[in-house]
Amino acid sequence: MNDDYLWDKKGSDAEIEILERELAQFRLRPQLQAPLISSAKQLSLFEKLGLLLRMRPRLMGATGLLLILGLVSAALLASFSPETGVQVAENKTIQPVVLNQLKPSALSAAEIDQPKIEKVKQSTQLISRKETTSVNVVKRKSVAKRKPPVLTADEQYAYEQLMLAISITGSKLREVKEMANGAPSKGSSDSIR
Amino acid sequence: MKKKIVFFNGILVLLLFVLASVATFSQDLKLDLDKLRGLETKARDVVEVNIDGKLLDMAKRVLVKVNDKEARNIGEAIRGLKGIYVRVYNFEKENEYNVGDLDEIRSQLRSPDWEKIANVRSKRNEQRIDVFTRFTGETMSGVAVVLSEAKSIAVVNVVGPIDIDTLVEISGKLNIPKIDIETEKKPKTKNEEER
Repeated sequence: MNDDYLWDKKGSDAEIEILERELAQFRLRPQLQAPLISSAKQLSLFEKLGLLLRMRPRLMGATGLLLILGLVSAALLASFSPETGVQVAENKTIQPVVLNQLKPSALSAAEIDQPKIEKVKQSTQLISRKETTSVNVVKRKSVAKRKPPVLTADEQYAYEQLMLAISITGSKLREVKEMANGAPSKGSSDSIR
Repeated sequence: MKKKIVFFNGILVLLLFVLASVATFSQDLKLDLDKLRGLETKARDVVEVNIDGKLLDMAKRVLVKVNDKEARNIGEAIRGLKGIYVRVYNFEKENEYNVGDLDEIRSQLRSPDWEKIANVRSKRNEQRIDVFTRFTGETMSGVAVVLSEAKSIAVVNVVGPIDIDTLVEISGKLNIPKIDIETEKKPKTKNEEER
């Protein structure tokens, strides 16, 4: 047996070479390698942390991408009004920002994002529609105030009696006033009616 | 202790005296119109309006509820009003009533508290109108109008301060309801409705 062959395959050893050939069928092949996870399971905690640190840029990128996607989808869901099917909330929040950013001197017409402007217009229409609705409500309230008051039978009676008394008293006094001023009196029993 | 009791009794008597004086004064301002009741059977049309106390307060509240310019003016003119009493009798024929019936009313107004401010006499329709006012200090606290014509009699008694000019102005604009009723119709009470 050649010890050098066993150590670093220097020289030759017929007996060992036969054994190698016999056992070659059991040699570990690359496609039959155990998965990384299984090997990772065997890693200690510090090794795992080290692995994560090495993968940090990729992880950060993936996490950031997921966050952006999540935020965008959340914003889209929140902006969708189920009643009108038009994006209302988004316009409300975005509109002032867009208006502030859109300085005519700084941006040319071509640079302005056309769809965004349409959304802003939509929101303006919606807000103005809401404003007109509120104005209508106020008008209706003021109209309601002008409606004649609902009176009870007693109140109606008291009011009529007072008006009647005032009418007769006033008409009699007016009659006296007119006669004192030299105007022809209309005074007769019929004037009371 | 005795002094305190005497003092409080004195105050009580004074208060009662003041209240009695006020009540008597108000009573003086209100004319006794019951003596005209005898005319109801003779007259073709009778109008009797008595509005004071709670009924008047209710009417004033309605004026506030109505809340238009005219109602505000009326409310302002009758703010201190305590009562209005009206009697109107229309007759079918001339001189169907007794002149003495009205003299009873005029005699009540002869007291020095009442002052005649207008005295109208006209041969046309035998018209005779007397207007009396009563003042408390510088405030007018009562008005009385006694009118007699060939075919009608009218007595108006106003208790409490009232703005005559505004009243005259307002009455020209008001729609006076047609009066073909014999007596005022009071709202039915619950007991009456049950019957």
